[in-house]
Amino acid sequence: MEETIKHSVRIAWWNTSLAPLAEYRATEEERKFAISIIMRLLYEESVDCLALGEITADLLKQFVNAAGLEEFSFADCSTIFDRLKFDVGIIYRHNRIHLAKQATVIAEYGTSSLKVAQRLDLQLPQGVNPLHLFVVHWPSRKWCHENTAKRDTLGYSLRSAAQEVMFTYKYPPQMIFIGDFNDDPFDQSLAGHLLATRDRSRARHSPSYFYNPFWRYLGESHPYMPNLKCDSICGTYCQRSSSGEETQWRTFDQVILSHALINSYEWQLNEENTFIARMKPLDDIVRQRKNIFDHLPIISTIELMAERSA
Amino acid sequence: MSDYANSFREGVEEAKKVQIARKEIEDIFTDFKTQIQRLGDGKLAVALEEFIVSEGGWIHAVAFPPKKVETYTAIVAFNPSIKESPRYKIAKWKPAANGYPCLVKWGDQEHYCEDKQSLERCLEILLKDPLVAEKLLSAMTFEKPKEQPKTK
Repeated sequence: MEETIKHSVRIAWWNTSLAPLAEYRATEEERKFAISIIMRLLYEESVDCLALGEITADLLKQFVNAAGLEEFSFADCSTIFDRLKFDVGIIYRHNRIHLAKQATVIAEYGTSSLKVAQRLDLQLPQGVNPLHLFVVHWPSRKWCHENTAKRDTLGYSLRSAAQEVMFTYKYPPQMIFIGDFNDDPFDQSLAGHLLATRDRSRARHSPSYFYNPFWRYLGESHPYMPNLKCDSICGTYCQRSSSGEETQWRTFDQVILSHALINSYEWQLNEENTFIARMKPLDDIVRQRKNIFDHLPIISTIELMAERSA
Repeated sequence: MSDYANSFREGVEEAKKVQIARKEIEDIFTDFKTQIQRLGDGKLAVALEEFIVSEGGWIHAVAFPPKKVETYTAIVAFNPSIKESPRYKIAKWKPAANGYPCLVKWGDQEHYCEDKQSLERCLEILLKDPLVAEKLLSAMTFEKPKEQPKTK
């Protein structure tokens, strides 16, 4: 007799703000606070693969050692390449996830290089085909302005890197882009060049499109209620010094999924469990000017239905 | 009735741009090849060669029934003064159908080059990579295997 069981894998991203461009700037207290958030993501939220931004290899090592995370391994992607600094890394449950391969995706732009993504090919439990995870931390808008050719190049290059994976398959591969794009879902780089659409049926029907569930998180999380104070947010990143801007919130942190993950091929998106992780006191801290933390974590869940002999 | 004249003209213009881009990429590689050959003092050359995708790739894990043989182009280094010189693969070379972006992939790096300047810069970066330089050195210092003395 066979029974159907459901396997699920949770993937998350948090821009820690500890070491932008791989240069450590946090106090001991801030480092401890970051560890507490990471622990909560791994244990309370049961995250299996946590991608972290603004991190160094040393910090990753410290997190795994200091927190006694025995069932976790880390993959350091914080390479310094020429003048280009990648400041991302992942912590993953090694009994559930096998890291098969990793690669650095770079766009050459005139006389400079742009960091596009770190590609990690992961083998998931009970899965046949690998999951290609692209961890993204695109340059800040301070250095690479909104709607400029550089940002177009980032979008095109990420798409080219995805196509390079597609070429190696006879049917649509499982790909996830996760990270801080420093662009909103509606910006040209993502909606136009990567083709990360809000329209799920379009992405379901054509492997040319990617589905971006984070279009849902552009507006206020709670409706307005007269005389009622609520903790509504409208994004993942709070830009505290945003005078003159129309909003202090941006949805820069996103998860974008390939066609295969919203069809019933193998692993599938669980969109109900794909969200911005609201956790106190980080929720309040990101709004305050006097600290380094300004991003909220995001979580996405994918599931696989498998048959097991009972 | 549709007027196809404009579409035709636009298509022709685009085709010309694509041809210019492909020629530009070809010229960049020719220049790269010429300079390497000069620097190698007759003992080093690079070329583009086609290879079959190895059986260990993802493609073979998912392809059933087996399909036509997949190939890729790589930049190889060799010693042109020795006929038996092995080919050292230094990077995968993959211009887009339209020319750009041109992908140059080696080690754990994938570089997408959008234009002439960025492709030239990428080839400079490639040469600076110590693991690539090691392969170039191996090609340069490769010696012809000594002939075994014939036994009576």
